[in-house]
Amino acid sequence: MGTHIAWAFAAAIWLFLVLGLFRPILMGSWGEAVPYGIFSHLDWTAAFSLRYGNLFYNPFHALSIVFLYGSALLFAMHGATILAVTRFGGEREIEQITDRGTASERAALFWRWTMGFNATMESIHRWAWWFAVLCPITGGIGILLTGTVVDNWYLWAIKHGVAPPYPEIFPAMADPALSTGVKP
Amino acid sequence: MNPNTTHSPRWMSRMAKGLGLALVGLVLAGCERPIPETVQSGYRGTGMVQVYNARLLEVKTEKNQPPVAIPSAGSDGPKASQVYKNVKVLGDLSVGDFNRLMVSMTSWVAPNEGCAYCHALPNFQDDTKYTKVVARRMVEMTQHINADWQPHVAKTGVTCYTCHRGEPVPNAIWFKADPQPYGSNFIGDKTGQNSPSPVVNLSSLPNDPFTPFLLGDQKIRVNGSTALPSGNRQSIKQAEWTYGLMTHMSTSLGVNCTYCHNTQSFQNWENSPPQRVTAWHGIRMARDLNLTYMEPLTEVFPAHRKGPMGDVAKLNCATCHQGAYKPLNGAPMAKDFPELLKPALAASKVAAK
Repeated sequence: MGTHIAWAFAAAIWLFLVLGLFRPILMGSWGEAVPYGIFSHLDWTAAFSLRYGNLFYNPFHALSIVFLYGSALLFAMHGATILAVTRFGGEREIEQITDRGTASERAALFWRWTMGFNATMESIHRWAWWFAVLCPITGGIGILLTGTVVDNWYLWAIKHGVAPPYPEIFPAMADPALSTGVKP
Repeated sequence: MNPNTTHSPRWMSRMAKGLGLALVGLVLAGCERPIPETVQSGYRGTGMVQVYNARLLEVKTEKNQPPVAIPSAGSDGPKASQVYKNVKVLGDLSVGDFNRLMVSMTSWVAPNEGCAYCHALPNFQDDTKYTKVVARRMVEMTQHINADWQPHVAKTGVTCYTCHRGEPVPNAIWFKADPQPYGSNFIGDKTGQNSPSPVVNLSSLPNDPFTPFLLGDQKIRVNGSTALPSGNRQSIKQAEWTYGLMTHMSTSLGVNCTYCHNTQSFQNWENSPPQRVTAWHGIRMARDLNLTYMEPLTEVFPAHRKGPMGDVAKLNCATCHQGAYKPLNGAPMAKDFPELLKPALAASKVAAK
């Protein structure tokens, strides 16, 4: 066996360690780490975005989402394709890699005609492996950069022209904590 | 044709129908009735909207109707302090207006219990009932709110009814939560998490955000205000405490985050709706009232009125707002009771026993 599975697991472990170990150490606070619990870890993700100015403007988070949804889409496309050509022997994918039969030909033609591009019996597994592995790798990079290198992703996106500035439509208002004579 | 000879047995098609119906039910369970109305409040495309459900709004509107005020008896005639004994706060009122306020207070606070809820009848001047000592201090608190907290209550002001709504103890009060330092096994400090609480709308956020923010003055602001790090040391954990407080504010007022915040950039004041300033003062007001009025009354209250940690009942946003963006939907109830609008004379201020 090759080491593909080990590397894929390593990618997931990388994200886990970034969230719970590497980033808290870099930030100097365990208060940055994910708490235990189903709902509490979901609340943590929302709090993360609130604290660091909307994670959707983090380009590595964006890449991670692309690979996450992309993985799901590729898996659905591949599973459906193989089921659809099973009657032609398409479930014997490994054999079809080296000895391309009518199942491979029909599957490839279907996607070529549908979207103008097709993978092969081998390359579809490489596509899916890279999409799956890149999801936690890019996500981990995005998490690791947050708070350490960038403090507010929205302001970062404004600064670099990623997010558009919107017109100020509310009456001019200042932070009340800055005005004098107010109660603390 | 005999139906038993078809390919699928009858039970199978029945089961399929049943499953289909169950699926439709599950899908519809995610719907809200009637279709909520969305009202835009900010620049297009930024999600600055308020969401209203007409059905829930009707219930809320009914709950937030102010009672009809008894007409004033006029300020002529002898003062309450000249006629009655032991009148420490409202002595400047005419006897007629004084009695009007007492009757109003009874209907606002103790409609079923009557005068005897606070007064040791027949000695109206007697201070032996704790409720009377508390009530006197609460009248002072009401005057303080209306006079000194206009950045929050504006000219609308508050009366006893704003919080009490016909109940001796207001519906929404809070006590300190048992900190429960350790969860099960190795989980460590729970800080109020994994214990879904209505306080934070059944989320898993820290479920006592009041002790640090409405009693203490822990830092509420957590957002980064610069693109790159510039010394903001607030952690995600601290963001969760703030998030808990904000969730309470949102549910207490029946509004979305976008009522006060431009959620694009939470920390930005220049692009925030003006309500945020009102809310900012509201947080300080709740803290001031809890510290200045409620906490010093701790010894006055009997044990059964205190919380599990032995602390006095305290107020938060829900105490007055009770689901409405403005308490009683902004009905200007206090204007009918000018005695509640001005602070008592400094000399007549009484500290809690």
